Amino acid sequence: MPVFDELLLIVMLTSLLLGALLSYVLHKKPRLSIFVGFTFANLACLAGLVLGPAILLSKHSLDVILPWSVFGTSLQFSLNPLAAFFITVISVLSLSVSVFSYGYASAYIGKQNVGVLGLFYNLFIFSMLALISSSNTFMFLFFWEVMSLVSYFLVVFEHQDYEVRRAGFIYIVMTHIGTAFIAIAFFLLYKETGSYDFAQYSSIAHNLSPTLKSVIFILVTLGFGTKAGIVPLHIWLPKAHPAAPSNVSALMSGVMLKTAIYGFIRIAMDVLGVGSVWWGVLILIIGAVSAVLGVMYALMEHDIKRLLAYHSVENIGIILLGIGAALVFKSYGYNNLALIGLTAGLFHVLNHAVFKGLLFLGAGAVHYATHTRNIEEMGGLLKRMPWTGFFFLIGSLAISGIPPFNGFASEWLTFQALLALGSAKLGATMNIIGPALGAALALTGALAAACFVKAFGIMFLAIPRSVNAEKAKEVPRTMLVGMGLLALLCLIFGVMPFIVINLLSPVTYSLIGIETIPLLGGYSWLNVPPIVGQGVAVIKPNSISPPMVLAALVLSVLLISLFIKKFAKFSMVRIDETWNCGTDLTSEMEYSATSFSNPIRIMFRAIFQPTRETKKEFVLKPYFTSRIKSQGAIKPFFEDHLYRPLLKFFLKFADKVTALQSGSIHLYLGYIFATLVALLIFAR
Amino acid sequence: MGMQNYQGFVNFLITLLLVTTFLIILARRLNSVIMAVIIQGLLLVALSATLGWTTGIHEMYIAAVLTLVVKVLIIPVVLIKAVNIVAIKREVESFLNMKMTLLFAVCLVFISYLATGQVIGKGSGLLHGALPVAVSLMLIGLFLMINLRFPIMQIVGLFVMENGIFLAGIGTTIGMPLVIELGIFMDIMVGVLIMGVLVFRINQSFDIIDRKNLRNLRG
Repeated sequence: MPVFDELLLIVMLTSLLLGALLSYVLHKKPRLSIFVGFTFANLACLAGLVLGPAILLSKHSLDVILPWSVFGTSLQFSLNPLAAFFITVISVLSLSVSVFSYGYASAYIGKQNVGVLGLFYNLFIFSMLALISSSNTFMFLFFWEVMSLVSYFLVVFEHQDYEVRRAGFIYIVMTHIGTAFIAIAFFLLYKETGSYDFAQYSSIAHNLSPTLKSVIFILVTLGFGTKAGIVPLHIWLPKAHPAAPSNVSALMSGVMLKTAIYGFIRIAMDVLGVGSVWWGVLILIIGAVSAVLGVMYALMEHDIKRLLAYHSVENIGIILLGIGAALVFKSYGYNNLALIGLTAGLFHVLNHAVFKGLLFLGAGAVHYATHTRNIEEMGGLLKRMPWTGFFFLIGSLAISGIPPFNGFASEWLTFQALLALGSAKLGATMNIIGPALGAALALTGALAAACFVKAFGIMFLAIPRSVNAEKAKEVPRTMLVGMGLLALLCLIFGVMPFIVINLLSPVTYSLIGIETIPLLGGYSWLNVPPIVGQGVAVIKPNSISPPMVLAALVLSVLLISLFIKKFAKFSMVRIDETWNCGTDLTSEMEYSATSFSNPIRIMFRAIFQPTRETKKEFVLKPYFTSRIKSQGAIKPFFEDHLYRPLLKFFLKFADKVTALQSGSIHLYLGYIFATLVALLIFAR
Repeated sequence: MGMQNYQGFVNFLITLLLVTTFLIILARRLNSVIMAVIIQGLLLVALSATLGWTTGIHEMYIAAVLTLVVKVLIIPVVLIKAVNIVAIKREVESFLNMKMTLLFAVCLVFISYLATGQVIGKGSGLLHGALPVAVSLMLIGLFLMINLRFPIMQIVGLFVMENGIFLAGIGTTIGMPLVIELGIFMDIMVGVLIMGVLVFRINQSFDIIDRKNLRNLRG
């Protein structure tokens, strides 16, 4: 029903604009402004939630031509299957976040202008949806820039804080460096094809010279990589995400990074067609490095939102591992193997949006209740905020790739893609790289699990470590509903991955010409199909059934709890005095986040290069220590070894250039003169 | 009367124009610079009068008279007044020394022959001699503006550049439309007058008019 779809698209986009406008107009009445703003956002997301799957299921793309044109290019929204899938992802997350925001934004009443928050929040979602729907590079770049600017304003929403402004500055610089690369790539495409239109690119650009294709590929990798946060271009993430309000960080991490993935897939797989093998290898290596380093740095963080931001780096890495594998297979012509990687990557896009959104909302809820982001000051929150804790636990399990949640399903597929690299006939190098990357992914999963044991344990278990944590109360119901929706999705996608895989069918068909169903499984199975490529490359079939895993899990949990009830004895006897080991526990005795992560800090000290400083204060003699202060830090490797030298270089260069501006009129005349003479000599 | 008879004379005048330009470069005292300026003006007057005679275009005479009035009378008088008012030192000061300046000027002449040689072919008559010299005059004029320290000398540079433009005009088109020439005349005259007033004022306020001191203005 194209007419119906068109209507949905218009409803989706206009209600966001309306929401933006009205929530700003009503900023004098904050409660009403919040209600109106986020209600319109919800409405738009509901429309998007119908629109995306409707297009995917109908298997036709939707074109809406706008009655304007710029530079001879007609403005047009065009939703192909890939775009429809990303619209779905954005809508799913934005819906939950908008529900959450009713309660969350009310904390700002009286402190900040919530009308502005509503304005930019709606515009932010609008720009992402419009960017995905753009049919040409011109509109794409325009909405990309709108998205960058609006998200910058959201990052600096609490602009009274110096740190926030600084984070915003780093964010906007990095994002514009990325945009520059993307713009160059687009202009190169325009120069070669004479068109701004994505649809026309894919027919022309396939025949470009390999060198030019590679240049464009590198440019989009750098450009979109900056936005997606690949190592070493990730430095803005751990600064910008904590600075923004939590609902915004959920959107930024959950879906804004994904718009970069969308752009990358669009150019690298759709427009450029089949590329060289090293493209895929490059993406695989970037993915592995981002995944491992992302999770490692996350482990060292005690600010919950910084920790989550580093996990975004990790998960973008995992997504790129899937897509990189797909690129490698595609360049060899094994499209049915590329299917596994591509599905894994796209599935993880959705999954990461869901569970990372959930975790950021959880972090926001905890911040709402305790007014701190430092997990060392939390503790014991599970008793005070049981629902938040429960949802956060589900998010933690999902991000660690533990069944029966969604992270497991997509990571399992990613593993299969990487292992297929090892066993397919691709030459010895690939056969070694594949499993090695698989090992890196396994390490990532293990470290992520460790990280969330730390985060959840320190935040929610044991005794409160501060007065704030002690006084924490459960958050308002709308916030719980927002988190609950996402938690439910974590479970649903984990147990019934075929829902998503079915939706992805037209996407993979449009990109590599193969449908996911029935190759990748039926209702209750995830399959890696037996594949016979070019007569020899045989992959053994491999299957797993998420519902059965769930059943096994439920059964074993039941058995264990029965066993414990029956046989274990908990003694709660505590009588004090004598050598005093029976004394009541206090929060000072607890395991801290630093101590929890210390073994890993020491294991990987080559990477972290930790420094520690201990100061003793004493009375009279060192034997009578009155106070010990210990400070630890890890070396910010990329800041020290990449960004600082670059910055130094630019400052030095700028200093040299300043000499040109001497203030002497003679010299200025001389410049004109020299230019004139040079032109006379060389440009005859 | 055909032009051929006068070709040699015209070429001689043009060569003298180049020579006077070098005189301006070589002059060490402000007064001799102004003398060279006057000679150059006179040469232009002679050139346009000769061309008017040979081609029978009477507007050339008007140009000649105007040149005489503006370039030989008004501008030198203003310059001399300005020098008398302000100059304590009457020597010309330049950034480069004399040898380097000369070398530069010769290079510029060479470059202009090189550059214009592409544009004009051989046997193109008057143009063949006039255009390279005209471009040389413009380049050397600009170079003078850069090289010389004294603000009054900047106006001399501008003057030499304008003479180059005038020469290019009458050399290539046998007389530009009079309106344009008038415009250029007015331009340079206003420039000279403003300079005169400014120099006077600067001198009144600061007693120094070396433009080195203008550097202090930069932020």
